[in-house]
Amino acid sequence: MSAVKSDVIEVHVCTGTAGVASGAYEVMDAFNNVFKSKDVPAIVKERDCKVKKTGCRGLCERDVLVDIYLPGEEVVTYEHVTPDKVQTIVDEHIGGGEPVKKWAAKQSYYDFYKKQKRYVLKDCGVVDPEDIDDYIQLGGYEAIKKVLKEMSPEDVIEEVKKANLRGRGGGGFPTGLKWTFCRKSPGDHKYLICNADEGDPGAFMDRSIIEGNPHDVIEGMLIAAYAIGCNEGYIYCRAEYPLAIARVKKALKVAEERGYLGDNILGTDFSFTLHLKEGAGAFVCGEETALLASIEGERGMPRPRPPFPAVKGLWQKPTNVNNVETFANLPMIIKNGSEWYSNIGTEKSKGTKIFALSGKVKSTGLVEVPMGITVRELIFDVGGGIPKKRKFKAVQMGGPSGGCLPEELLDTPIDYDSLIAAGAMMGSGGVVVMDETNCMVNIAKFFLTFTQRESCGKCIPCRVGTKTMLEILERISAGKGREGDIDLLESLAEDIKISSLCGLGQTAPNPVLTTIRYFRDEYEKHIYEHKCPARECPDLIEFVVAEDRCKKCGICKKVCPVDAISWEKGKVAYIDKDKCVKCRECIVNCPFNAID
Amino acid sequence: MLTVTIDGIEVNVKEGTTILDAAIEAGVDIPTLCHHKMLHPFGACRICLVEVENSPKLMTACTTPVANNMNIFTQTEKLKRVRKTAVELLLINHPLDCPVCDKGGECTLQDLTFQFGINDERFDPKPNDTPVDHSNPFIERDIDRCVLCGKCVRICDEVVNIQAISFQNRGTDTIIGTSFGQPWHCEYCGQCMSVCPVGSLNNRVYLFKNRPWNLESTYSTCGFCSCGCTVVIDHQDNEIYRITEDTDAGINHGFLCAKGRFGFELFNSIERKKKPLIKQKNELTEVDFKEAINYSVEKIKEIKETYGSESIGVVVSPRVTNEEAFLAQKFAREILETNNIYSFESIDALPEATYHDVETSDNILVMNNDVTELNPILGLAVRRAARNNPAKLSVFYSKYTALKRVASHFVKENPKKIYEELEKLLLSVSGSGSEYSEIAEALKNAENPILVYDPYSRKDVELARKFKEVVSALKTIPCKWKNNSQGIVDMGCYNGIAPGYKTAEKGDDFRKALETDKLKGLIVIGENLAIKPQLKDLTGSIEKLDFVMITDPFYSESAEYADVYLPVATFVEKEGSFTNLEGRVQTISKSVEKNLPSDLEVISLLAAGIKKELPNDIDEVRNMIKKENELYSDISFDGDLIKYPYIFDESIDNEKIDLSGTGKYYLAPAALRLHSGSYTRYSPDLMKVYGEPMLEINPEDAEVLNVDEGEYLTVKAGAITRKYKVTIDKHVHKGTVFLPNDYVETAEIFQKSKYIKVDLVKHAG
Repeated sequence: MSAVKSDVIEVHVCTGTAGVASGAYEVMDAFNNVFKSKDVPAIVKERDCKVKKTGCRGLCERDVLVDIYLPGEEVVTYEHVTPDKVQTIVDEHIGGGEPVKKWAAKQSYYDFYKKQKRYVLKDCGVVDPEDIDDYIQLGGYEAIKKVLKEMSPEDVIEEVKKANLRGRGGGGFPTGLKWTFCRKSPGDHKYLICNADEGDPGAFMDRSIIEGNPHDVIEGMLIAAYAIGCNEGYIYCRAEYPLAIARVKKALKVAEERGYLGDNILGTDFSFTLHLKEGAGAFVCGEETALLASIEGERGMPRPRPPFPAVKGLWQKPTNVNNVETFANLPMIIKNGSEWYSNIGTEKSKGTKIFALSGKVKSTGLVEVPMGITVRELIFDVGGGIPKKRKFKAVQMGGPSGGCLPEELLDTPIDYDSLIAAGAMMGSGGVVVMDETNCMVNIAKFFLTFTQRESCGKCIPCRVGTKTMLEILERISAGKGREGDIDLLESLAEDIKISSLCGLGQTAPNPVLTTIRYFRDEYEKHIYEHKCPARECPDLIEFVVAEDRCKKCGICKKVCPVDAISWEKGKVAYIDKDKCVKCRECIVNCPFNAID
Repeated sequence: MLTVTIDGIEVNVKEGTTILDAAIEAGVDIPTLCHHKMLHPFGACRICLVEVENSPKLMTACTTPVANNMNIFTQTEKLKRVRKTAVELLLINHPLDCPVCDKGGECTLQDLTFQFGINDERFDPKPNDTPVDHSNPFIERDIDRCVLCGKCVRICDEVVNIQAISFQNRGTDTIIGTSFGQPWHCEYCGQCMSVCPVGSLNNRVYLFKNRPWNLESTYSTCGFCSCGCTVVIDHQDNEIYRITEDTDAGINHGFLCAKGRFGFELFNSIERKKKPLIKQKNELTEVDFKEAINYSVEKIKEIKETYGSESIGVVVSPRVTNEEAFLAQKFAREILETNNIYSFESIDALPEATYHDVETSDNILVMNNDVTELNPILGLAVRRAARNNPAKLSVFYSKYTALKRVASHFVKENPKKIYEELEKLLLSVSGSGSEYSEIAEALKNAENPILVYDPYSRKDVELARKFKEVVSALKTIPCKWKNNSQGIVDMGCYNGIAPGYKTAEKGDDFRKALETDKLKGLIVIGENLAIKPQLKDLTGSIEKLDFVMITDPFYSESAEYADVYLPVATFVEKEGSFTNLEGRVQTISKSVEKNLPSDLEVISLLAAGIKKELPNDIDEVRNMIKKENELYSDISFDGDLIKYPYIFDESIDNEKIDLSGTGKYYLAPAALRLHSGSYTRYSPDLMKVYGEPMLEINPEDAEVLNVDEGEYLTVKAGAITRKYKVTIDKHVHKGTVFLPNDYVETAEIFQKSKYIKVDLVKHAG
């Protein structure tokens, strides 16, 4: 961090969804109240102290995060700020010039950012998402000005092709090429859609971008619309993102008032109307043809391709659909040039990728890393490794459509093609880390429960097939697995993959296939020995205290919600099986792995 | 043309052809489940997946257009495996109750299971078990057997356009149902049922009555309205079990309406008489056919000798075949030697446009009628054109019809105002008016504009003629009532008109002849005079005649005042042909034997008794028609179109609106999709849903009149007062009420004109 140049004292409060949920608005109010009160330090009285809301900067688990900008000094970040800490921070830090060390961010906070390359998220967490001027001050809407002044639509497509930008929605299709299809498609009315229907469990990249810097996405869409020749567009955002929706609405209104949207943008011939469409809560609507059906007011079901949306999309007109993150990449490509951009990343996967890091990892949150970084670096260097001194077991890359990678594949570089080769995928960017207490059958079951529930029901393999796979997994984890079940799962999974209508069904079996591929023995133990090695499947756990490992600490008794455990100081605990409801609290909390 | 290879067979196909259609061309069979050729590609079942060389993904044959030099494989091991898996997955939840399922024997799921050789259970069966829905009077809905192919939903949307059913929920919870699980009420056309590949949607009229392999199918032409749909009549032992369709046959593409599909029990009705009845001194005696004919012959001869030939009249119903109609007029003119040959049809307007014209139209004007109720399958063609082409559709009518959903413009006013508005449109189209300019411009600039109108109202005919005068590309289609409304007048069953619209010597005016007692004897071939509004006041005169002979498959209200009643065959029990509203001549075939003579046989026997024999053989009669009716001289009687000498009677001009009365409300005739005259009232199934004539009224009017659904209103038309049950319908224009005009209970009210100004009072008690 460099020293603050401005001479204004600024307090930046993270108001992403996680920040708001942790009380960011209350913290902002507390700062404002303190600044207004009588007994504030003299420096505050002399200066214009500004409390500014920013978007998500990634390390959501430490919210509310607050940055204090003092002129000429390094920015200091505070973690877990609550309103009652505000007075102290103002008095000691702003007034007294001494940061409150006990609350200031520790080394691990800075480690989290060390290996990241924050380009797309550069202003996310810095800019006020509800202030267009703040965005403009940081160089916003310069890219579209450049495009409209200096570039032809073909130039823009060429630049994006040279940058080798690939779709960030998961498929990795070259963006410039996709645009060419739609541009060349005959028709005088073309649509541009921003897919913000981010529905993967554990994924919040798109949400954070929109919440943190909505104008960046709008500017990206303007660039794309100009390049393709679209005159109307939609941002399709899931209704479960109320903050994102509120900020997009505001941004659209202001952008139109300022002449960045609507007719004759910036005094040119280029016109672009942009609407917001709220999704109604179906995961499958993230699939582009189902998304189009949903905008049209139809049931969200995928449509067969061909015809591709580029030829017959929304209301039968040529349509181009890109993901939020793809659009957010565009302004900087235009501003810095394709050459600069293509220096980031690997040969075939350029730029950076944003991941939502979650599960058994110390620093969960939103990270942006250059393509080509290894999975190991992502988890251990950026994420800080596995908590509770447990062992890493696997990582699910790419959400419910992705795959589960074991320890021996930790050095796989993160790029579109290497991940696919390993059986996972970039997907939209969900990364769920698992440790030794996670059962792989259970993980497969978890993801399949999600996908089969989210299947639209149109095609047979996805509708009935995923449900059938889930039932087989359920019987395996209940100890009722049969000989041949693994083969049955594999063959059914293969059929579902190759015969389903859309991407949901075509990828839904991936978690099962990769867990079988890398953890077959664990499946076999469930089926043939009726054992769950990770002790996660309740039906396969005996719930007996292993006398040799028990250190007689009594934690298990404390955490048992049904008083099924008896323990006296100095004695081995005992579990009453008649009372036990198999909730696994004892297993999770036992520091010595002493419950079998 | 593109060249593709399918399983090694090379075919040339047009650009845009799907792999599936190309395969059909190549003679290669690709199994399908969710595909239907009249519906948009859906690609849901994945049964038709094929492999394409150099393509990493499998492709659905039903949705993928071929590319040049595509090399397609349809029978690889991989394909066999995924197809089999898909069916195996369906069988997990599908209850294997095939022995008691009506679809057994003609079920696509059964056939695929057999074809793919599925004989063991890889997956644990979990048969669905939910209650069967009987809220629809004609269609049983058993969602347990549903395979979610979506054909029913799609046909109800894309063809019928009423979206009565849709997909609900998601994933394995997906079902087909009505909005908010409401009872299933719709147009009851049964299109959904006809495309269901399994036993999920079943015909309640046929339910549990037979097995498909026992049934013999006879292709014929429907004998209800003038649409001329091809029907497949399934029968065994001279009993009709169901009426189905064939997508590949006929102008209707396999679509049928409620009465055509579900009304067939009327043929099996126990109310049908098996023997003729003779009425002497008010006493009815059942006699055999020979005696009835002999008695009639004697009576006719007697009248002819006493009062002369012109004292006898012959009335022909639009229900009879072309052959029967031809013979009837010949019988009148040559055997009875009378010119008094009557029918209650119109020669003011003749057919012009075909279904194909409607289906490919880009602009349709529906003028003052409800084609969706009157001629349901023509109505479907209009809806499909409006939805799919998409044709600009403008409708002028006093009630929102099923076309409202697809119409670009729907002008709803009272009947008088409708004519005024149509006149304004006509002015705009002619270039001297400014109202409805959008409709007018589109109509003028359309490539294949169509006008749908009522040919029985002279005012409507006048307007249609004038529209055609100013829009040269316009083709018109008259909404004729009955199955052979067109054919009987083509055959010369009209006063003063010989076969082929040649002038014949004119007989007496029917009304005048009755009023002046000039007419002494009447032979009625199939017509039910009692429900004709224009004859209602003449009932006494008809009853008073010296001799009335009536042939009818049913003992109708008119048959009650006949001296001789002869029960005759319906259209499923005889051979012949009908000419539909396009002017298309189509064959009807005998499906069952009820031991009743056809009208052809009756006329032939009468002729033989009175003067000389007339043929009773279809081919012989057809040869006579070919010789004596030049319009029919060169046709096959099996789908050929007639070329008419004119479209409109050019003398029709300055017509008045057919309106009388002085009351506060406009009474207009209602068209009913469930009924078409008197036959359908012998169907217990149709009667269950629509059993008595109902007065349709706007909710606001109902409120003013303080009347609720199912209560009665008294209609006062001058001195005539009748009470009718009320049905409240928001689609009806305020101030206008609708009532069917072809019921014995309603004919009287309508006797003065098509529209009547009436007063309405709540019926006390």
